[in-house]
Amino acid sequence: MSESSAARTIGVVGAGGIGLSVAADFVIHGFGVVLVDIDESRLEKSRDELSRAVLYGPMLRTALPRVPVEEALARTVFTTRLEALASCEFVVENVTESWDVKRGLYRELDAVLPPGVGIGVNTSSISIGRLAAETTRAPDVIGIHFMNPSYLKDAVEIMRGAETSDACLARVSGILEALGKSAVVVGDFPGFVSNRISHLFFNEAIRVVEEQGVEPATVDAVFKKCFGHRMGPLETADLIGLDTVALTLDHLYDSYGDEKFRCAELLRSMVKTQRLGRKTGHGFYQYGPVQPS
Amino acid sequence: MAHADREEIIQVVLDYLAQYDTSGTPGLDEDLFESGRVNSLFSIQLVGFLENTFRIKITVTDLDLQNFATVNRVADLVLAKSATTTGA
Repeated sequence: MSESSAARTIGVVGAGGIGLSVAADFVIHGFGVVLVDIDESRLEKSRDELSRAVLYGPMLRTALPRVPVEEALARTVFTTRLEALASCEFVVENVTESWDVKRGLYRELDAVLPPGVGIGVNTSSISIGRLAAETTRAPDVIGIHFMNPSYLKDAVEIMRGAETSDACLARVSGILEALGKSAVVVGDFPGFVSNRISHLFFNEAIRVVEEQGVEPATVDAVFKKCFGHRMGPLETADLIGLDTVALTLDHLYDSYGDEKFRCAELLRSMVKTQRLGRKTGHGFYQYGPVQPS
Repeated sequence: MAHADREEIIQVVLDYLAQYDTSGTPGLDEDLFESGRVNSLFSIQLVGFLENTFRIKITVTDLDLQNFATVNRVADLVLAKSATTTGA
């Protein structure tokens, strides 16, 4: 770890599945991270999850640097205070996929962050321009759609809002380069390229299970074995979190008013019963025991 | 289940695998990741499962995807770790 990289600190807001993996990605690549969440118990759990990501990341992607767990934890601040973000050069926001939650947060972030500090919106579908309008720094707000787990992915989808500046885009490209990632820049429309399309096929895959009684593993096997995808749609939905998938579909449905985005009943009922995928240990598949919080 | 023999280990691993892959029993030297039976994230779950089930401690130097790629290699790892883990 060089002195210069240690001096770079990134804020990560939201310690859910994706926020945690983004934080781990930065820590693995030598950055300091200020990880903020409103939930103390969530933050406590994050220490273990961050440790595991730092430990297992290089096994899954051998190009990743191996960082001792103690060093990773020493470089990460776990806090419930947004004010702790004031020392960060850039902030990535990963809170729940809800307009009301994000909207309030952007006003608070705008008040806490020094002028010029940019905010990357890690969202599945919410408009970058709408969130930017809640701040006084619209040119510094940009969409960065990290995929989960971030540290295993080569690229991110970048959503450029109507007011996002060239300077902001350039700065984010530089940060991504430090993570060994490239960017695919798309426009600012609901679901962007990735989720407008992927959530349709997650939803359709769920309907095949619901209506035709096909086993989830069989649906996924078609994608993996026939198409050569690394993961099937139901495994991917489990990884993202079925609550996030349902919220994204609802948002797409509201935005486009198109029946094709209507959330499958099976997905709805799984969310109601907390079968949310990997994070609760049970979705379309069973997972290892969830770490006690 | 400390100090299981090779046959037992293989059976336990196959049973665990069957929860995720319903397409039949793999060959013991088949690369589970390349054949698409499981994705590489499965290896993380497998590490936790092996540690708990066989009461072994898998260390950083063991964290090589190749150690988890086939049923035989998983059995090799568990046997080697069982031999070095004391007090299990």
